[in-house]
Amino acid sequence: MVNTTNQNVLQVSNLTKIYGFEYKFAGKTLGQHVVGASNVSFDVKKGEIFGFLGPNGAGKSTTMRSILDYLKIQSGTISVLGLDHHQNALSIRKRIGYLPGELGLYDNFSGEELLKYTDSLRPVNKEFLQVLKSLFRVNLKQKIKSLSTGNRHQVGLILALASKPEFLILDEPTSGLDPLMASNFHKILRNLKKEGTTTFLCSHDLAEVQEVCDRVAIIKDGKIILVESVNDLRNKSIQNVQINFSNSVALKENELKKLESVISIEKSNDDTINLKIKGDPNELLNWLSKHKIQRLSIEDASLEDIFLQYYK
Amino acid sequence: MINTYLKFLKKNWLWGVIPPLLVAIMIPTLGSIWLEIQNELAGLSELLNSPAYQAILGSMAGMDITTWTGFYYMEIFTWLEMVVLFVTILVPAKLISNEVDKKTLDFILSYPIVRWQYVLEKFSVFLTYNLLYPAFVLILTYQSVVSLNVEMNLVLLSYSLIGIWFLLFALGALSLLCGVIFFEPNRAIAASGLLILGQYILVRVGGITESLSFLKSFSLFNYLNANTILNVQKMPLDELLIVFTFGILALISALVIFQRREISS
Repeated sequence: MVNTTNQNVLQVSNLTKIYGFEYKFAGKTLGQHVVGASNVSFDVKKGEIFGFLGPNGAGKSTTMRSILDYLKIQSGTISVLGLDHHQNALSIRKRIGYLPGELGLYDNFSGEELLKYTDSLRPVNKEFLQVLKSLFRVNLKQKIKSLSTGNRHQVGLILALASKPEFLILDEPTSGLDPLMASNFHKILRNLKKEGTTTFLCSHDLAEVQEVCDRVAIIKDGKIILVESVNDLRNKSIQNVQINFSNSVALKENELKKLESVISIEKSNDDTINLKIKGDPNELLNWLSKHKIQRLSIEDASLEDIFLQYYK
Repeated sequence: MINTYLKFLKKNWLWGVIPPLLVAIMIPTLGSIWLEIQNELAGLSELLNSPAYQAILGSMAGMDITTWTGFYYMEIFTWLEMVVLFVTILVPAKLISNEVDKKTLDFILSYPIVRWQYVLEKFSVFLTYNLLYPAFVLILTYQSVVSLNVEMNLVLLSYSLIGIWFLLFALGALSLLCGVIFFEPNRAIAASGLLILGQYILVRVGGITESLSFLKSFSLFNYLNANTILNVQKMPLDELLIVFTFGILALISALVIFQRREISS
């Protein structure tokens, strides 16, 4: 159940970020422009968990760092919690929680010391901190340098969530976490969502996005290629079909290729074919009715299949 | 408001206290050998008048080391000059660039903290610990002077030590500027090394002959010199103003650049 309102917590409009310099001099081009983000537009509604997908170099970090006002954008506007991301950067930071993808914490501080320090910058919600401490099993008294990567990550999550912010920006929040911790974290996210917290979540873990996100945006080569609710995306998109025929599939393979809805065919053995279909399945069902089959299974494609479909 | 300052002051106390303590410990050591070597220093004093030693030791070579004050100044201020060189090249340049390298800047700047204020608070920790050089040196010098029963003008010594602190401030601000411009520790240290060591070399080369003396005016090491303060018997306020103005300009530049620049990953 998506418990969201129409109020946008994040509104990114026509964001363009170009790195580097390029000069043309005497017919030669000096330097090089690299497009980090090009006309990126999307919005995240209050109470929504919004997934942001894309492989390395697609523009995820550029978008995220622009939202945080770490980068100067060439054009476009970004509004966070109804405020201009640059003009009101400090006011915004009082109300957000951020977990960087490559988390760096002060090595000679303990988790407790970091919490105490960050409490002086953005007050910690003491009650919620106790909940976080009970769900994450990291020793906050230990120095950061003596913690494993997974435990450091847990400290990072506690720090990002400790103030119980209105808006969470999380980059790969479960990387390095064991399945139990990841599951605990998902529980926290869902509970926070019920209380109206909005989450912007960058992840490579498509199962995680599928499990917790309401909507998802896919970015490719610095451009948003899709913004869709996770359910709609699955409903509208490809389905995996497995057909067991009574006899050899050799001839049938060619016939299947001619069907419009079939986007890929993979023969797993002499009498079994795996298909990916997109759009209306009736064309395939009509075709199947003319053939003798032993077993048929149709299931929704995973987000991973959908993601790969856009990245082929 | 000053949480960052207090936190890092507490966390870095060991690195902040040990170097000034090591320099200050030299003083009782010098005191303990002074009575033994006092008579042998006349020969060495003549040797130090040669241009080669003048170039190596700079103005300190002009000290009369047959007196406790001359011996003390030559030893302690030569050491302090080395400290100024190493500390200012290495520490402020890494204050921010190290944070970029270790990705801690990404994390901390997501909190409501003004960027320039964060840098200023961290730099203030550096300046605060630098106050320990004059403090420790003065305390142990006083103790040595009393135990050796020798005369020494501690007011003039205080002026010279204040001069050292201002040099640490100005050159430290220059090094910090390199750190916020280059944003990468090795490059930042290379740049600050070039600028600070370059100034040190200028003042040394400028001291060899009169014809090269103009080079000294391009170096901050030429100002607030302990030997000059000892000779003129007062704090040269014009030189203090030059060093302070340079430091303030470098510091403001560093703060403005850091406030405005991109924090790229």
